[in-house]
Amino acid sequence: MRFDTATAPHVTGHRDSAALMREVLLALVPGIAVNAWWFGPGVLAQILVASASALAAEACVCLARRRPPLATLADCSALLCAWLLALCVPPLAPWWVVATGSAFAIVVAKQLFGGLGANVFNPAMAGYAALLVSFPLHMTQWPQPGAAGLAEVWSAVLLAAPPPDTLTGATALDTVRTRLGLGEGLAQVYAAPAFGRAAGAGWEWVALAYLGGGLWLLGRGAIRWHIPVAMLLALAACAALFHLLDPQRYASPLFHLAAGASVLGAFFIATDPVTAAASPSGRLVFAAGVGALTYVIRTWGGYPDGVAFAVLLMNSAAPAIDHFTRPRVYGSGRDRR
Amino acid sequence: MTRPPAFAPARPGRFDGGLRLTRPPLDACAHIAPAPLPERLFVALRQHAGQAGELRVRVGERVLLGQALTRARNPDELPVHAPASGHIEALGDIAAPHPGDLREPGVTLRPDGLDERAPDAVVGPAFREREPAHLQAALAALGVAGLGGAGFPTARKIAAAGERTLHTLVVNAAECEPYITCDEALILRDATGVVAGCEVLLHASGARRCLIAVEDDRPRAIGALREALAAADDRLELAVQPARYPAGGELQLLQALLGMEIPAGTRPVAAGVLCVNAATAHAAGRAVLHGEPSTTRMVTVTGHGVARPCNLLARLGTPVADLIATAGGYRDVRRLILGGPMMGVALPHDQVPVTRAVNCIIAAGDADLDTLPGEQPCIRCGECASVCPARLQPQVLFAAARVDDLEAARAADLEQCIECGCCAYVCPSHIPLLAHFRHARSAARESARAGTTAARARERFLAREARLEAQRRARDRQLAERETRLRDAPDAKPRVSEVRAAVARARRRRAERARGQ
Repeated sequence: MRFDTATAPHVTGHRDSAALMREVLLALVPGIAVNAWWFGPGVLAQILVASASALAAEACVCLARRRPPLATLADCSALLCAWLLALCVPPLAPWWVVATGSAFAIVVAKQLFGGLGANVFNPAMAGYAALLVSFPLHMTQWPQPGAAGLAEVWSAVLLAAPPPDTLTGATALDTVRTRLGLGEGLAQVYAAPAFGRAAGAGWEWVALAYLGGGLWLLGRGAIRWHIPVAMLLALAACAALFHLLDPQRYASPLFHLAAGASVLGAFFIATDPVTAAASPSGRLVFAAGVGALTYVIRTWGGYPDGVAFAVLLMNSAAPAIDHFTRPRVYGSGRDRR
Repeated sequence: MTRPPAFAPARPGRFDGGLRLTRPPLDACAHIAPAPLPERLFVALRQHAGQAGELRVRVGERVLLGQALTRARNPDELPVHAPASGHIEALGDIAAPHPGDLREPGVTLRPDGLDERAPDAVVGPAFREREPAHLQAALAALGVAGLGGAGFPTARKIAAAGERTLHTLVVNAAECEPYITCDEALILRDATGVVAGCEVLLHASGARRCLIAVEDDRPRAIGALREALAAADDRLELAVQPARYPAGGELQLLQALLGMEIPAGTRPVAAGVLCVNAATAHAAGRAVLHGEPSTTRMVTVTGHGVARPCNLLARLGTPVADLIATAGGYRDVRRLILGGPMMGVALPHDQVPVTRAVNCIIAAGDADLDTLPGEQPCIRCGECASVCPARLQPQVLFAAARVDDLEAARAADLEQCIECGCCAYVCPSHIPLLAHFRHARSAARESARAGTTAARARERFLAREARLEAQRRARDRQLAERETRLRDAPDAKPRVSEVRAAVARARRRRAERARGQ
C-alpha cells in the first residue's frame, strides 16, 4: 500500500492572506458609510471606478507577465489598494482622476516592483502622491457636508463636469494651513461654519468610524497594535508639544488625530505589512516616523495632508529599520548585529 | 468566516514564540499493551547518532534475546541487541523509516517465540555503590541511546561533560506535539520504572538534582509520577509546564525550566545540564537495574485512519504494518506519518521497521490533515517571526532560502532553526517554510562539508607547491654560490693542480673498489 507524501507540518493554523485582505475591506465599510452620509454618494462612485480600474490594470499586467490573472485578483490586494486610494480622493473628483491613480498604483507602484509582497512603496499612497502632484486642483476640492446628492455625483464624477464652487471647498486641514499662512489666529479659523467639534464638520465622525473598524481588526488579530498606536501617539505628541508652545499657531492634538487621514492611515495604510518594517520594535520605529513626519508635513509643508508622503518616506526607510531592529536570535551573543 | 486561532505572545519565564495546539479527540493511552511478536524483526545496525558497530553474527546462527548483534569498536559506535531469541535469516539492507524509500544495513531475525534470554551482567539495585563511570560503561554496553528522536548515546552524552560538573538532570516527558502520547503511556504503565531510571542517571551523571518535566494537560501522567516520586530520592522533582508547542524541544524546555539559553554551537552539558527523554531514563533504569539491553520502545499508533488508537510496547525492528494490524488495521487512511503532525515525515509505505527514533505513527485520515490552498507571495506579515521559538525572522530566511542564497541564510542564523514548523503553521500565504528551511539546512551542511574537503585539498596542494618551490630555490642558490665562488677565484679556469687532484681522487676510488672485490 502506498501513501501520499507531503512535507511537514501536516496541519495548519487556517490563516489566509486573501481572507485577511477581505477582513480589512470589511473593516472599511463603516468609515465608507459615514463618509457617504456626510459627503454624499460620491465616495461610492470613486470606489467603483477605482476598483474597476485597479482590477483591469492588475489583470492586464498578469496577462503580460503570463500569470493566471484570476488567481492574482482573488488575493483581493488590488481591490484593497483601490478602496484605500478612492477614500483619499475627493468624492466629486472626475472619474478619470481616480482611474488614473488606481492604474498607476497597480502598474507602477506594485507590479513593476514584482507584484504583491515585492513592492517597496505602499501602492495606494504612491497612487495618491502621483495624483496630488499631477492634478492638484482636482485633489483639493472637497464637497461641503450634505451638499452633494446623486445628481451632482452623476455630473461631477461620471460626466467629469466641474462641480459648482458653492458645493466644494478646502478641507479643514487645508483651511487651517492657508489661513494661518495669511496671519490669522486659530480661534478665527475655528469660528468658520465648516468647522465641527474637532476637525471640520463630518471629518471627526468619519475618523471615528475608521477607528471602530480598526479596533475590530485589532480584536480579530488581523493587524497588530504596534503601528496604529505608535503612529497616533507620535502625531499626538508632536501636536501637543507645539500646541503647548503656541496654541494660536499650532492646532491641538485632537484636531490632528481627527482631521484628514490620520486614523485611516494609522489602522489601514501604514499597517500594510509589505511596505512596513517587520519586527515589532521595527514597526514601532516605522510608525512613530510616520506620525512625526505627518505632523511636520501638515504643519510646515505645502500639501493638504501629510499622511501619504510620511508613509512613502518611511516605506523607503523600512529596510534600514528592519536591519537595525533585528531581534537577537536564540543562542547568539548580545553584542552581534 | 472562521475566527483565526489566537497566538498568545511569549510570557516571561517561558520560551519565546510557540503555539497553543489542540489535541485530537483520540485517547491512545486508553489501550497500552506490548505489541505481539512479529513474524520477522528487521533490526537496523545503526540506531543512534554515530557509526554502526561491527557485526558479530552469521546467517543461520541462533541468537538469544538481548544478545549483542554488533560490537562497538570505539565510543562513536554503539551495539544493537537481539529483540527476541531466534535465527538470523539475512544480513544486508533493510527498509529504513525515511520519506525517501531509503534502505540501510540491518539484520533480519526470525523469532522462535521462546524469548530465551542471554545471561546479563546486572549492576542491580546497589548501583549507588558503584563508580559513575561503571554505570556509564554499562549503559554503553547495553546500547542505551536517546529515545526522544536524536538517538544520542546516553553514556557519551554524560561523558561529554568532561571535567565540568553537571548540576541538573532534566528528564523530558513534555510531549508537545499533538497525537504523540508514548511517554505518557510509558509513565502510566511503569512510572516507578521511569523514576528508578532517573535515580540511576542522577548517580551516573553526578548531577545534584533531577527535574521531570510534564505538560499540564496530562493529569494522569502527573498523578502517576507524583505517586512514584513519593517513595523516591528527594532530589527528584516534578516540573509541570504549561502545554504549549514546542515545550518539549530541548532548548525551549531549558529556557522555560531554568531560564537559561544554550549558546549557539554548544550542548546543554557544557552549561551543566544533562537533558534526556523520559523513555531514555526508563531504558537506562532497565539496563542498570535488570541488565536489560535497550531493545523495545513505546510507540503511539493513532490517527483517524486506524481502527483503535493505542500505545504499543514494540520490539525494535517490528514492522509498522504489524503495529497497525495490532491497532485494528486501517480505516480510510490517506497519509502515514512518522512522528507528530508538526514535524513528522510522511512514509511512502508501511513495510518499515520501528527504530529507536520512531515514537509515533499517525495513520492520518481526512480529519487529521489540512489541505492547504495554493501558495501565495510572502506579504511580510511577521506572524512567522512572532511564533518562532528561536526568535528568527523566517520571512528573511525564506527570501534567502528560496533563491538558494546560503550565505544570506547563514547570516540570518538558519543554523539556529529547530525545525518546529510553527512558522509554516501560521503562514497566511501557505508557504511551506519548514520544507524550505530543511532543504536549505541540508544544503548548507553539504556545502560546508564539501568546503572543508576542498579547503583541505587546497591546503595540501599549496603546501606541496611551497615545498617544491623551496627545494628549487635551495638548488638554485647552491648553483649560484658555486658559480660565484668559481667566478670570483683569481683564475676563472680550473687550475691544473685542481684537475690533477681530481684525477688522483678518481684513481684512488677506483683502486679501492678493485680491492674491495
